[in-house]
Amino acid sequence: MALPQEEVGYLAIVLHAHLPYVRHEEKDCLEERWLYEALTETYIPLLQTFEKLVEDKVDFRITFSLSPTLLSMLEDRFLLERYRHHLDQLIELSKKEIARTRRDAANNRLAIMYFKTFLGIKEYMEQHDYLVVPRFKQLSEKGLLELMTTAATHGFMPAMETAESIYAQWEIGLATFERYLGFRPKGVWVPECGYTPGLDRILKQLGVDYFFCDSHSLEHASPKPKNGVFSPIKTGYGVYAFARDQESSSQVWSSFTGYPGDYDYREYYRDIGFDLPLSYILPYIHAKGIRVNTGLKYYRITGKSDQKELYQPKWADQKAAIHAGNFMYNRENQIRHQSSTLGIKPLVVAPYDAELFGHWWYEGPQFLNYLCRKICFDQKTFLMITPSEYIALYPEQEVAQPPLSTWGRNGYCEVWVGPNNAWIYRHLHKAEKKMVELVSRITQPNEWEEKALVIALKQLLLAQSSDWPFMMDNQTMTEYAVRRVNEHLGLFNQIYEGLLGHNLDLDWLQQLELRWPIFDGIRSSVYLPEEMHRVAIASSRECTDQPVHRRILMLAWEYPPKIVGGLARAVYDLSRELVNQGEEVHVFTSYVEHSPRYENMEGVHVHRISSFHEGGQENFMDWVFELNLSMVAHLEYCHRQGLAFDVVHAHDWLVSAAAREMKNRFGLPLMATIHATEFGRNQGIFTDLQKQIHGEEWKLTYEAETVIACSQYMAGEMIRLFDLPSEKVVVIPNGVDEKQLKIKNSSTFSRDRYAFPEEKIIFFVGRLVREKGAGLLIEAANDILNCCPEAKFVVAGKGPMKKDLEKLALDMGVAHKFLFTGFIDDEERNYLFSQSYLAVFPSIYEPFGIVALEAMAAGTPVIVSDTGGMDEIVQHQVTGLKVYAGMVSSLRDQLIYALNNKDRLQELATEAKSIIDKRYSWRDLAISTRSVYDSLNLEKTVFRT
Amino acid sequence: MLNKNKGGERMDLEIIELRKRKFTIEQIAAKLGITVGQVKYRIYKKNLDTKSTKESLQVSRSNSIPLPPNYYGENEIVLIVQGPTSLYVYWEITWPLSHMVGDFFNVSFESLPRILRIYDVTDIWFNGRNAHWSHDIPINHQADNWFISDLAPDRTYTIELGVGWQNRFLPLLRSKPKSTPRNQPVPDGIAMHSGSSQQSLERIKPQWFENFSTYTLY
Repeated sequence: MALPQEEVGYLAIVLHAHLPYVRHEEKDCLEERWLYEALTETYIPLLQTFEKLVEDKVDFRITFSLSPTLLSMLEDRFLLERYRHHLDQLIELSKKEIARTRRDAANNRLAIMYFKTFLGIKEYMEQHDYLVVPRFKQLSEKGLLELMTTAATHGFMPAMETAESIYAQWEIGLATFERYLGFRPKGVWVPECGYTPGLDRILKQLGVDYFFCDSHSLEHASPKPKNGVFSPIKTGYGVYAFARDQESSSQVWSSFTGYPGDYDYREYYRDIGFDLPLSYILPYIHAKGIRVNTGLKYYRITGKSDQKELYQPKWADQKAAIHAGNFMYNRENQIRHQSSTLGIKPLVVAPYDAELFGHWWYEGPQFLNYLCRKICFDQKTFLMITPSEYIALYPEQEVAQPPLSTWGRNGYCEVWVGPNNAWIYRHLHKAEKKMVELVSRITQPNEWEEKALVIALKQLLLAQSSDWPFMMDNQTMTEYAVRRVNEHLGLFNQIYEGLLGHNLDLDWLQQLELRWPIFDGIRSSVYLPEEMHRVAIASSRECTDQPVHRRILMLAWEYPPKIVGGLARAVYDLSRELVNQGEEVHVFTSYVEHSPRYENMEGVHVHRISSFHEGGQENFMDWVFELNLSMVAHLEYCHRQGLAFDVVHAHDWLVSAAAREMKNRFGLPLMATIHATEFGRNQGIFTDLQKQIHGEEWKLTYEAETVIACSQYMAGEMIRLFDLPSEKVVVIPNGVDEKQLKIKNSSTFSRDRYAFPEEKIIFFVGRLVREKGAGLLIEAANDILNCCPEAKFVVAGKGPMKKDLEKLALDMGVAHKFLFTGFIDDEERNYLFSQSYLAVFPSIYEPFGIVALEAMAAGTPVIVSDTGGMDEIVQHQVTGLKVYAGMVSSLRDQLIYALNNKDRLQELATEAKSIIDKRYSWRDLAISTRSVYDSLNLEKTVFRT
Repeated sequence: MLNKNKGGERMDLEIIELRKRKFTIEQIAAKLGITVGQVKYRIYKKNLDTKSTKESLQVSRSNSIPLPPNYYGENEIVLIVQGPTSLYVYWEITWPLSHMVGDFFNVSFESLPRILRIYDVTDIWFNGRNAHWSHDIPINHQADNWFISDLAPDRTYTIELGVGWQNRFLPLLRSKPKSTPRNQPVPDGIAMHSGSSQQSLERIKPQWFENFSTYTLY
């Protein structure tokens, strides 16, 4: 007696049933017939086949996917009522056909066959109250069918832009399945086998165990799976991926070499809907006389020519049995071969569109019938299996990551993203993002808003069906596909506008709700952003809980820790003080390496914005322009997130373009602080670059409602240079924060590094450019040293003239009395202030002179030139000493005087310190700035949450 | 009590009138000095939309099939993977952006040559200068999408739309990076990144390169 032989492998037949949502209220919609044809030719015949197998106690396994759109239509009483009518029509037509063919025995037999078939279907449907979903459920409860589903509207994943969209497609798909079947499926059919890396992550989140992909998804996975397509892999996130077997697929699929092309099978393209006279067939085709398939076909494929012979059901049935036997035989060989090669029990996965069986291949259900019976009774090599059963047997699988892939032409996306259909993605992507935007903004929707959100979501989902781009690619029913995409997206955009504009037509909404009775019970929150990590937005919302005056947007190209000139410091100090006084301040500045892109620095929201070239462009103007572009883009982003500003405060020409754009496009009131002018810096405008910068300055002051100058001098200069009306210019000096001048840890420095103990340090700090006047100091040095050899000059700062200055000191023979420190940080500067005999600032051009103010605040005596802002800060022989700008002899005289009058110098320094406290505290300057904000037209123009 | 009712009736009549004149709910609210919610409430609960107003609104809504807008008014460039060696790119340049370019460089935007620059940024943190490879594609001014072929499989690309300016390329828009798929087996012994053992149904953080992104990541 032979021992029971154990199987050496497995076969998983997978059928994917899907139709796009084609419910139309209006009568005589051609596309609705897809559902009726599929019911009559595929779904019901397959159910009847499966149920007969059960009756005959055939042990079979089929994995069956029912798409959410199909499920919704199969449970839609409105459509089912129409289907009942459709069936009645078919029966009536077949009756008429029996009469018409009564003189032609062969044709007559076929007409009778159709009559009986349709009658049988009608009886079946009447018996089950027209509901087929429970029939599928019953088969799944018996363990013979493993039911699964797909994405909500069969969206094509590789062309989706947002994770939220992919998540929503799957969550809603699974929930729809659960609603009709009462449980969540273990696996899913990925639409078009369109896998994209990361999809496994979302499927894992949703509790999905497995999915199907195409052969090359596994063949090209990384690392290379040992078993090829003959066992599933586990993706990195632990989801099983089963791959299609090419060989078994093409035997069924291929129109040339596959079974369905056999000459004895029924010819799909010869339908009486097209063949019989219009007057006769009119009641059974489209009301407008458009010929359609009726399902009554009398011919077999016969051959490649148009000459067709009559269909012989018996021959076709025999062929189906032969083909089933052949398919089984090939699988046996294949599985035995793979088993011996790989040393495992191989699994052959054979997935097909369900509609192939019956609708396209009329004998398909019969083929499956024979196949299941033969596998069960005629062989012992392999077993039919479902993916869940397989996973339960073999949970350990290789881990690998499949690449993007589909089962479409050439294996990737060209079917769905090609010249005929790629245009839809611009709109689909926008809608995806707008949907995320809507649910992020309307965080607590009222009843009507939620209704509108859900309808918008449905429209987006419906527009995403992979069927539409497929039809456009195929150039079949293109017009319908285009109309559907346009209609759904158009409606989506109308609802979007209505929701944000608080302009929703409630009746219209209700009409839409009735028109698309699909995905009932979904909530808009399914579209919530995957990561609610919008730090800037979240924390600024926290701020809004407190009484906030305004939301101020500062534009400054430099901001700590990026400090190039005095601008960074001034904006930093002003912003902090404004926050102290209850304003909300956001600073847009350029990105600097190693700093966060967003941070809350002492209450100030700092947004460091990177442009195309991080860390600068070769061409400075190009970089400036990139920065401005990025600032505007960032404002757009903030607006989309619901963060709106009340006023833009721009600092200097580098942000001029962005500031103007914000004023003109976003309607924000604009004020500008001009810290220095290009004209002043160069004492004229000479080059094209200077001309362009000068132009940017002019445009900024022209567009600004108020221009702030840091000194009377600068106000005068701007009025003159830019032809500004004087009432537009307000003088608010820069302030000084004494806390910033305290030395935190003096032990890190040593005076020895800078001078001998008996030397008096004359300290200069500033950029080493001509206008700061360090050169004058060197020129005056010889005379000074002759009188006061104890003088020692410490020159701190960097700049383009550093080398020239060092050389000048050498040439003048005073190099030993000059120390060029290069760049120093605030700590070192403060230390040097404390150690210096005096600080000297012999600037030729100085719009403000913050550094003199800092020296005074630090208690260091100062000598300044009588130029620009410095002239206004220092009063000669009251708060310091002044020299004529650019005059070496004047500088020499005052320095010699100072070196010889230590006590007097200290008196001046003391007086200076008290003046600073009175006039240059940031507290008072911020109050002045706020009063300028108050005077601006602060009407809100932008939606604000 | 009586007065209040009368006032309410008058308000209702006014709402009906304004609705007939196709005022939006927001406009009605502003006009009558009540909240949007109050207007909605009256329209809905009291069924104020008469047949004629409904019809007029219906006509305005459903006269023709609504279409998605031609322009969204947002500057954007997006790559889609078409296959191992081809990408599809679409973009929109808004009028304000083109105006800003023209204004800054003091030229007419239309006069500047338009260029797509594609970069291979595989496995790098792209800073604008460190791409493995880049290629310029001159495009015409009317184009708002392009198919790019002859690329390498299993590489990550990003694309910029820009203009030529004084023999320099000035980028205006940059896409998010997208990766082309591998189209042949991986050589033996090449391992991938480590997997995730997370079993929870919590949202899992992405670990590998994905061609879609969370919208909020800027």
